[in-house]
Amino acid sequence: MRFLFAFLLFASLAAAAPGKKDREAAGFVGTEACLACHEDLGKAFLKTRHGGIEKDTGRGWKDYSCESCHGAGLKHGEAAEAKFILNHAKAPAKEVDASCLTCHKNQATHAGRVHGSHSAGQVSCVNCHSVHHAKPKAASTCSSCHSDVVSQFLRPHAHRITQGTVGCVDCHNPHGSLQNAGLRGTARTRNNEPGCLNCHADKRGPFAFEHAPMRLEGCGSCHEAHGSANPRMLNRAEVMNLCLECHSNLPAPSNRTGTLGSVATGMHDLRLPIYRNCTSCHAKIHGSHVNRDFLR
Amino acid sequence: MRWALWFAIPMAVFGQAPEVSTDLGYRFLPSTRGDWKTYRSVDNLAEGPRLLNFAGSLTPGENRWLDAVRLSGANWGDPMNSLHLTMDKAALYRFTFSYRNMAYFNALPSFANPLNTFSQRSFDTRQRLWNADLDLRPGKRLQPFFSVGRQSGNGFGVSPIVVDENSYPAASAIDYGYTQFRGGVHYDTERWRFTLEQGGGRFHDDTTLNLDSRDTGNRVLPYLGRRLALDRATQAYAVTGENLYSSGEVTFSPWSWVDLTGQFFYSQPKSDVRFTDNAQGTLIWLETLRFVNGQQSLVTGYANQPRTSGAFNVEVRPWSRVRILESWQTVRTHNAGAVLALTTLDRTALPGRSESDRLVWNQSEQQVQAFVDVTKFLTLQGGHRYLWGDAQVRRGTLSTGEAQEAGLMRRHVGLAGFVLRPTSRLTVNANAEVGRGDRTYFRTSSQDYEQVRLRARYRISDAWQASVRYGRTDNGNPTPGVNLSFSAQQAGASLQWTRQTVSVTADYMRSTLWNDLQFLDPETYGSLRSLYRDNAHTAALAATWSLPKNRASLTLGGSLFRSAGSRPTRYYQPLVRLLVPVRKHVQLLGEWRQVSMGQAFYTNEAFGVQQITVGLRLSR
Repeated sequence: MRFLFAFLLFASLAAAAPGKKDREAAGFVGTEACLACHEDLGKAFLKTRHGGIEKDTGRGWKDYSCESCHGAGLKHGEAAEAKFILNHAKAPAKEVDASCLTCHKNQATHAGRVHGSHSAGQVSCVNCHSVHHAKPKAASTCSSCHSDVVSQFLRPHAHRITQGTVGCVDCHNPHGSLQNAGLRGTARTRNNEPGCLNCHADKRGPFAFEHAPMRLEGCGSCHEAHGSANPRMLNRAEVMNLCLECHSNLPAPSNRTGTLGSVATGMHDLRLPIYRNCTSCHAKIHGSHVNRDFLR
Repeated sequence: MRWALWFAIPMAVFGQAPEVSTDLGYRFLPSTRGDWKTYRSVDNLAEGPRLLNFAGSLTPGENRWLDAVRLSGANWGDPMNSLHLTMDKAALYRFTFSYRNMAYFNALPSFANPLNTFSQRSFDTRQRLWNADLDLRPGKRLQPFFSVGRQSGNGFGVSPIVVDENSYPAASAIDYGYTQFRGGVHYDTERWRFTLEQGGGRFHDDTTLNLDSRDTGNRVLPYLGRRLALDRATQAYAVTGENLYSSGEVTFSPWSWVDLTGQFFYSQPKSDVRFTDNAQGTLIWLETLRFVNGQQSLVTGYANQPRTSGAFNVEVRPWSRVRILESWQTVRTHNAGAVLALTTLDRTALPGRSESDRLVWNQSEQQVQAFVDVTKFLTLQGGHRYLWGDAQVRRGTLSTGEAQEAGLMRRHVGLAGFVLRPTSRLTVNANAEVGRGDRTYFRTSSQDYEQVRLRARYRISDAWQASVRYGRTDNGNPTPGVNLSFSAQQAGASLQWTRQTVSVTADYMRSTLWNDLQFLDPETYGSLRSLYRDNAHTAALAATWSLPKNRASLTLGGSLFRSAGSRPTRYYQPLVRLLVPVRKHVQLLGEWRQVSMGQAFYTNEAFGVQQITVGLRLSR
């Protein structure tokens, strides 16, 4: 405990914020000077959450909130030219990201930023976030780029995103995630469980008898999460094919090839409808607390 | 009177009335044809009064405890509804509460058994989720946070009771819930930051199944000369679980050109189960091939699943035009479970039987990626990813040898791509992956695959904007007996035209999917072919004409989906939406929507339903 206290104290002192004189020497002019020309923009900004920087002594940007993002404004003010100030709407993505991440780097939502496709594709923060306005951009923000995904939700069996209760960010972390496709963990920083379990708590387990694909490859190994023409958003039109495509290794070779999934037992006569719908009997297919064959 | 209170109370406390907007309406279903159960499984909007939308906000000027409070909700009266509340005071606190109530109805006969007229796996349940988050001192150096939430589900359904060699659809009463809580602290300085979090949860599942009349089940043929049947049966689960987890995250920027990020997460969820099963009828006990009239079981068991994951990332910017990312991550999951079953046959107790199981999964990934700004408008990227892992699961019923089967995964992936911005109006984004593996966990997993994605956006003028996209994934597994061939392709285009009073958005996508794989017939070990095809057209249109300030508007559009292949389907949703001003704070709203679906192979599941909603928008 003493070590932790000393550590925090040291860190606080090491990161002491620069004073007003330091700022002026570095070419900062202060918010008041910015508002002389950008009054409407500035007043709207001060009503936002970011506007709190203007009065916050802890961050070191008190009275300099505009320049905390846009950089020193002295040259820009003197020359009245846009090229002397950072304009996030026009600047390259990496400059915009660098500016925003000065403060937001450690937020849990940004934990997987390095892995994120938005980072790799140079989609910057302001492509989705509106910094100057109190209201965030609409939920349709995602669809303006990912219209191919939106069209998957227009299939008959889909998460009802069109009815408004479920949204993209319930499953995906747009800032990037350590999981594939930016899937959100079950809490802010929990990245070792599929985000699907946020709503489907009964599939969470742990089960005495786990179904391995659930853990190893996630829900997407059997379900089309965005939407499908097949009931239950399954990847196949017929349940039998979905199961037997994996359960088709002969008893011995699975150890040789390192591929999991033994063949089903010989009593399954695929000509009978009951055996063509595996989950009619293997009802606990997501995992069973009781039975190794997922029968109950 | 209640409306007056909405305004009077805030006026008295904060000296300001809230901004409020409410959509009230009534939905009619003037025309319903076809299969009602399929309609409920797909869309599920019914007739009746609705609180379609409401939103209110209050931003008292100088107040010690409150900067803003916002309340919003949607679809009250409909199967899926929600409520959100946020309150905050800069640098002091931020509180958010969200509630969602989602009805889940699914009773599609074609899922469980195409020859039956009702589904043997159906649900009529509600899932409720709520979450309350409190962040203290937001934006400050030291920020504690707390959260509590709950996910629960309950309702009724149909689920099979399986007794040796036959299965019987039975009524199920579903009841489960998971309550979670967490708390922690963020600590930020200019160079380094960390987050420590501790949380946990408690789970219960008390689902029961009940069958109280004679049923001959799904088996149509006699077994050893007798017809199997169940006179009555019950199954009851009493599952409880708990989970404690700890996580940490550190970001360190020693110099302006280096960022280091580390994450660690450990959790140890566990479950305890007590399961009872009571069946009476004409039953077969397979181990001795003996017919019995009654069978009771009591099963107790547990499962422990410690999970550890960690990640370490480095971002280096040695020159202004070069960015190098190196990342490593690992996930380790070990599940151990055991059950003890006590069974009684016709009042004769059998010796207790215990069974245990393990699942071990370790996987790691290492990736290096470089981004080079070749010119001001062109960025190239390239990299390499290596994934490796191993898994142990219980062997299959027919497998011989050790109790555990071992699975392996090894894959090298080459990464390449570019971002091209020749003008501020045009952006082209492309990336490709080529993966080569010699081990996969499952026969359908990615092994030798190629993936390419391209997306281009062009702002033709201030009014016109167009975008095109293309994606293709090919995957193959040439192992004899598997011969997997998978190919998926999507190509689409969007066009947007926005004028002061008119806007049109149109989108079209063509997608094809081909999956070809051999599998074994379990009875003969003969090779069968699983061929799945899905060739689909999807289109959406929204054309809106509106008066300034959105006082009146007319929207025409909707969506269509049409597919051919393994499950040919047509699904249309045309709609017309109208908003007309009545008085200063009152608008009349109306919507007509048609939802219709047809399937070539399951004509009995076709439906067509018209929905007409009329109502008022009240705003102040």
